[in-house]
Amino acid sequence: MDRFPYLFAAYTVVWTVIFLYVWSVDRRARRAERELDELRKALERERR
Amino acid sequence: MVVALYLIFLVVPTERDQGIVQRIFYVHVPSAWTAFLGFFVVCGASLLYLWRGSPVFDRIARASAEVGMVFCTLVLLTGPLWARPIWGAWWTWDPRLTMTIILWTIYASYLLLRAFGGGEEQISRYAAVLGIVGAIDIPLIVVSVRLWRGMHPAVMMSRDPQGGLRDPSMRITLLAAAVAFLLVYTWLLLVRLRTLRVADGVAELARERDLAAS
Repeated sequence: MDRFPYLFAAYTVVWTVIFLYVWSVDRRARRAERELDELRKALERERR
Repeated sequence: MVVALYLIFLVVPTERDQGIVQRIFYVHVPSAWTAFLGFFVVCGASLLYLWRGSPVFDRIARASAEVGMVFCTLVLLTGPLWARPIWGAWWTWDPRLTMTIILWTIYASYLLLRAFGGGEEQISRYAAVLGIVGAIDIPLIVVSVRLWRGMHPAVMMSRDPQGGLRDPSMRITLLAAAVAFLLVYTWLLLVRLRTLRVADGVAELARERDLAAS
């Protein structure tokens, strides 16, 4: 059982890295969608 | 993933020599396979981009490079956590380890080029060449254990009858973990592709707006 911390650390690392990546993609997706909405609105305003 | 975790922690026997820490293999090895797949997809999509010039292939290559890097990072983080109790060292300059860190560095350069090189077509072409060249390292990593007799264990390509995974449940667990990682890769790739498509839409609209203003 003296090796258990290594096993625990390995699985914690896997889940943490995947979670951080999903969070980062989600953040970028929200920002891109917000920018797209703002641009569409700005273009509509300019056309009027 | 739930099935894989069930097999890893509740079904598969504990390895006699390495003990509980051998269970790191069930995430370390599939991470490596998934990273290789991700970088092969970068290579294939980059070739198609250079041939056809379609931005769709460029987006696939970019998304796959990013997801492949996530899994390659997992390989480089989980490996030392296994090596410390087994080899007594976090890291050695074994051929396979060295080639893997070179692979990580190549695709880190690829992503840096994509992030800071701008959105020009020329940058996409440079990145495509780098993505293709980087994949050459993968077969070298696979054969490095045999070719240069490194100390890294050969899990699936061992010629030693006492080596590799002897228990059938270990092989099934490794396969289940590989399938779970493949599904995670596919999901992440699709999510990232959607984000890149939206980002490209933003860039296109911004260009249209600039043209209309001028």
